[in-house]
Amino acid sequence: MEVVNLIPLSLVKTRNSRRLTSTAFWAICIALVGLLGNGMSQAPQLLLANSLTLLIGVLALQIFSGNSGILSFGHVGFVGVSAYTTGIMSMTPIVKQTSLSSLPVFLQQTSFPFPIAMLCGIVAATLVGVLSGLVIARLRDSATIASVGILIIIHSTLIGAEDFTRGSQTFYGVKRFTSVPVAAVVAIVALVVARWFRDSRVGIHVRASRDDVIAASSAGVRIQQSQFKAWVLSAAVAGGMGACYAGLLGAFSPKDFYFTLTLTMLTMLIVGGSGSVAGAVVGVVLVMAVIENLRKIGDSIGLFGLTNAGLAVIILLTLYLRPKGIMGFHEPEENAAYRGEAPRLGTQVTQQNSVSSGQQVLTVTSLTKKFSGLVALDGAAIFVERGKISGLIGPNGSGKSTMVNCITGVTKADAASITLGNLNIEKEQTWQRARAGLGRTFQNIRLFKELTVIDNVVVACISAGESVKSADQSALALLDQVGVSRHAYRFAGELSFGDQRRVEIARALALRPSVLLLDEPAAGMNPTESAELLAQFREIMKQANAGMLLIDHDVTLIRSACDSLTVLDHGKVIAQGDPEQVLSLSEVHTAYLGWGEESSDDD
Amino acid sequence: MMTNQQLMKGSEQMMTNQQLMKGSEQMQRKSGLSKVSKTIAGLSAIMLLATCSSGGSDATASGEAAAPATGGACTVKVGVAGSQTGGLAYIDVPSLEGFELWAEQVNAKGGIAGKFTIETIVKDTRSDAAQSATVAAELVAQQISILITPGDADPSIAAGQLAQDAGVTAVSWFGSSPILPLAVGDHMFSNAFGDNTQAKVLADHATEKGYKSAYTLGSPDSAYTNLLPGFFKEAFEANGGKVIGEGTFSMGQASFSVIVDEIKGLSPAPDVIMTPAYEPDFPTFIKALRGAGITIPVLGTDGIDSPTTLALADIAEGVTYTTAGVLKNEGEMGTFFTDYNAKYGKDPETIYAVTGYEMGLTLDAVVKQAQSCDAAAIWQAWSNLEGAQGITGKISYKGGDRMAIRGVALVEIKNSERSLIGMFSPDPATVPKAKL
Repeated sequence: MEVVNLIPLSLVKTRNSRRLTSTAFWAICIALVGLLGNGMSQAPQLLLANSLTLLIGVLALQIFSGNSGILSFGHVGFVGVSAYTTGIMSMTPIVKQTSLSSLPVFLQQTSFPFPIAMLCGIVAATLVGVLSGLVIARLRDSATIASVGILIIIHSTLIGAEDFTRGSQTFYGVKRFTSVPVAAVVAIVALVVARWFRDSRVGIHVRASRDDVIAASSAGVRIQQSQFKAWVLSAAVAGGMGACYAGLLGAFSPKDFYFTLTLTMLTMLIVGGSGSVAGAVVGVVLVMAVIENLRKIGDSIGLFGLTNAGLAVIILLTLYLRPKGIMGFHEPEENAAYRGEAPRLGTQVTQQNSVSSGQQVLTVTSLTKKFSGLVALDGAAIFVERGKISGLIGPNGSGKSTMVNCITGVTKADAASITLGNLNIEKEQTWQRARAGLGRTFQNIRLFKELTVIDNVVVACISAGESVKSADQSALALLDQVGVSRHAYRFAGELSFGDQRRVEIARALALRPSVLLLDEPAAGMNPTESAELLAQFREIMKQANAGMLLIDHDVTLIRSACDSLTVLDHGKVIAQGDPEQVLSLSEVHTAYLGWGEESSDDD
Repeated sequence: MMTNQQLMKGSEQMMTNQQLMKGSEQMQRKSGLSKVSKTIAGLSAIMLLATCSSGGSDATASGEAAAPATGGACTVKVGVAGSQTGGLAYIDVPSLEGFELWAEQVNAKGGIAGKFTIETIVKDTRSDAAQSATVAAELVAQQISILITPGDADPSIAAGQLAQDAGVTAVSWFGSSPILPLAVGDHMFSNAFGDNTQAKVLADHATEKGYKSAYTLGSPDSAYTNLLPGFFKEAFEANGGKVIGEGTFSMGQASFSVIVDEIKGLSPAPDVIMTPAYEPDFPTFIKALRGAGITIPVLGTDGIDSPTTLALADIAEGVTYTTAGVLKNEGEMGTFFTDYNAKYGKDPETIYAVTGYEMGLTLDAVVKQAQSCDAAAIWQAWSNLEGAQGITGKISYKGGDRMAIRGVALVEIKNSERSLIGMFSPDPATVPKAKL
């Protein structure tokens, strides 16, 4: 992209400089629009004020939907709540006497200047955001449908609260205070909030959960809480739009805050690209430009459907050519930064842990899990010692992955006693177990594909309590440790299979784990690669002072790597102890029917 | 009287189509958002395309033929901020067609009074309130003599405020909410009779029929369905009648059995039922009512003046309702039918084509009175207009609350056809006052 090459690398080197560059750029653009617009005649002024007002709302949507990946229909509801609140708070008592005669007395008398009324609107939208957020935060796949419900509930409430809103009748008498500069100021604030949030601790966590929920919680992301925070923040920003919209129209009714406006705003976000703040801006500018120009052409030649036809074409073209929206998932300044060299490590962060090997750090006993009658795990037990590698093998379907999932909390065990260090963690959530020191990788690699390699690791560093700035440093050090720091600025999905595995391990390490659970880390590697990997594991364990649970099919690897070995069959532990001894047991041979002889040939 | 109905329909469609769309997502692997977003965007596109066809009316620039300025001649610049596309197009598009027919006829005769030619500048508001304001500002900036606004309160208020500030008369195509002019100010008018007026006509009819007690059925979901029962009650009780029950429904609700049971349980039974419900609620309600064997007469409002109601056949037989006029190819209306057909190659489909034409006839009378194309003079004349001759009857504004004082047609459904009982123009003083 040419735009990308225009951005000097020096401006976008660090996360903060990227945020600053981007917010400064967009703020200057909006401010210029605000200044220019002020001198124009009424019609273009109204157009600009309307566009800027919509931008505020689209940015609000971007904060939640763009980062979390959950499309929301509910935000126009917050816009409505704030519009009515702002209206009630800013109207003069005389106007209220005629238009809102049944308003409670204390509200009859209040009449605040616009900024305070707007604040009231934002507070009201935020409160509704908190209430609805309690529901939304608990949902994932059904959250979009729930947000439709929230819109309908808010809509009905606005109609029902006749004393405050005049019901379905037009609410009028709001002073038209939304000039272009006013809308520009609010839009700039919304933009700064949205861009800042994207790279905040919560923002990064929400984006991780967008790409992969299970991987995110396993990396210590408290998904519900992050999602809740994003929802409430975006409700507040939507409140900003509501206040401006009230001041733009002067008269409105609940139907103005319903599906039509929702679809307009979603179209803007989707065309621009929901994954980035730049996408929100571009979407609003493009869609408004198309609407406005085609409308003028249509009006002059009498072809009134032209606007809608043009919009439809744009949407279809976007879907066909750039399904992620024009700007995609990444900010231009991010793309600019990532085209450059991967960052160099400033000072080597070394973890000088005293190795106290041999102490039992993970103890799992009586682990039972049934899937509707099928016993996947039946009183299984396993332990991991600090500084040592415990192996876990078993035929396909013997319950190995279920065991890892139960230990990490991804799957809820029917019964279990799991002790990590001194903590009983069997009742904890996945993210709590991760933060308590349980790092893991997945049998099928689960990276956050739309995040950079470094951000994949940063997610876990944040979970471990680091600030974003120090997380950037630690993540780089960890990537260096596993040998992929040269790819730090590439997107995780672009890496080779082996490198993706390494990133996953770095992410697990970022939790400062006391136990690492590696689910078939050598899958798809040749013997030389596996040997290399093994050497790396030993080094990593020494540095992290952790224990390791290694699951694999590769007996050669298991035999040479593990200090102890557990064999699982039909959910039961059939052998446990020294790897050589365990592997020579006849029960183990039977379990792996026919495999024992072949394997000894290899040896 | 546009409401959420259309919007709701759109959303329902969207929900069901979501499943259909899923099949067509065989592009690359996407995160959750892009799947849903593609669906939504695709649907928006389809919905937008669908609305295109509804708005393809001809352009209007009849101003080129402006007569040379002799002897005080000038051009009346009519700015139309109309909903040529979107949810309000069903009112605004036929209204404009009627109006343009009038403008063409007048210009062919050298203009109003042979010297005031009409130039129509049409801009599409896309049924959007914010867009209506922008469009109105553009039109006002073009020094228009008068602004015509959409047939609904919200966009009309948004547009009317700008006309009010500029001292330009604004007239809504057919917004029937009586608060519309009050919310904007003395420059805002509506070409429609107020809902309070049609309620008064219904109440008078009920009284004349000898009905003593009534049951009203409204809905808080739209201003139209919310306010009409109240206006009816006020007028009916002023006539000495009594409203003995006031039911409410949710627009689009699936069943009216609870309400029908409530009516059945009323003792004594009401003499008449009045409701402003329209599609899809009116058909559902009347089917349930008649299905339960209740034969109490039903009074409706202009929202049910549609082929759907006539298609109810026996069930709707005897239903009496108010409307702007009966669209029938005979008498005065017959000439209109012929002219309309000659220009557009089709018969007018709704009464709004007639009321749009009458907007022109009103302007005709106003300009003759004002003898000027100046906005201020036109406002003066419009405010004081008395007895302009329309197709359905006389139209006045003087002494009213800036809603058109015009005949309300009372229609009874007989043999699945509209049968005109008469045109009624109640004395404005007796009409229930609109409360702000």
